[in-house]
Parts: sequence; structure tokens; C-alpha cells
Amino acid sequence: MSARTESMPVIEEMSFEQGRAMLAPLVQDRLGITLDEFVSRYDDGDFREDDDQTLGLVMMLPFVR
Amino acid sequence: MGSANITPSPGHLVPDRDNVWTINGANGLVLKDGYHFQAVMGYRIIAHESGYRVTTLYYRYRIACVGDELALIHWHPRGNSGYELPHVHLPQLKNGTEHLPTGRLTFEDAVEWMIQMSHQSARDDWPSVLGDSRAVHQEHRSWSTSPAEAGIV
Repeated sequence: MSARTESMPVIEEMSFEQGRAMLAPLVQDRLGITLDEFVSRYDDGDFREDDDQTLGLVMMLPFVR
Repeated sequence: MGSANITPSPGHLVPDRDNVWTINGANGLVLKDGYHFQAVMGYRIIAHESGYRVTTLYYRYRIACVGDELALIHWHPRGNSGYELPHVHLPQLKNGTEHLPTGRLTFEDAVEWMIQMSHQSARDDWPSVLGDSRAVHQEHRSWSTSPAEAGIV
């Protein structure tokens, strides 16, 4: 058991600022819009989570709000 | 497979709010021969008769190799996709797939899929390590086959 404890992964919580810095370029690269526009349009129901890449972005929204 | 850090969202131990964790931020885990593993899991810490428990909100595991997506393992009951049950996509099949229904697939399941597909593991005793971790999950889970068991969908 102790050997497994030694190999436990590091847990590094992100700040909201770090979360925005992580997500903004992904949104820009994959969707061609800003993070704020993505959040706003997602809340308005503009994005369907049918494709894996968009789904991944949506799932990471708790990093930015 | 390899070493990785867990990256949780801000306030990840605060009860009654939506949180998420990933592996190595948005980078996931890169292995030899072009294999790539990503995991995202949404969760919420909720009150329980024993104190608190963690309930899973959604998950996404992605296994790829040199840009080819091998398996996309999803459960996203919220949102507007219209498909609320756990499922997988296997994009490399001749005609691709829509939603292939599954039971609940755990992070441990996804790790095992990745090990089996890539033939890479960081330790020889991975079956027992995953087995021990699965046992903890099985002891506390509220559903296994369908989220309807827990009244989620």
C-alpha cells in the first residue's frame, strides 16, 4: 500500500485565470471565436455537444466560471 | 501508462458546486508511438448521511494515436446533445459510429482500454492496482448500468 501511495499523482488546482489561459486558445483554435463568445453562445444553446472536441470544451467550463 | 498530474478546477473541494478534473490540464497524457489519452470528469461534492460523497456529473475519455481517434468514451446527460446515456464512439470503424450504448465506464476502465490498445503500462501490477481502485468505486457508486438507477435521467 505504501508503494502505491508514493506513486499517487500530484493534484494541482488551477485558478480561474489559469483556466481561462488554458481554454481560450483551445476555443480560438477549434471554433475560431473568443472564450467569452463561446461561453455566451453556449449558454444561449448555440452549441450542440455532438462532436468530441466541442464536448471537451463544454466539459471544461468549470475551469473558467 | 505513465505519470500524470490531476488538474482540478478552482475550488475543487467546495461542496455543492460543479467541478471538473482533467489529466495534465488540457494536454492529457502522451505516450510512446504517438498514443494520447485524455480524461475529463465533472463531479459534485454533496451531503450524505456519512458526511459527504462525490457524485459524477459527466465524463469524457479520449484515446487516440497519431491523430486518429480510436475510442471516444462519453457520458454527458446534461446539455443539448439529445443523448443522455453512457456510450462510446469508435471513429476508426469503416463507417464510424454514432452512439454505441454502454454501462457506466469508469476512469479505471478507460485506463485499461488505453493500456490494452497501446500495449504500454508504467507498472506490471496494473491489473491489481486498477482492481483495487474499482473496488472503492463499486462500494460507493449509486449506479452502474444505467443512470436511471440513481434517478439521474
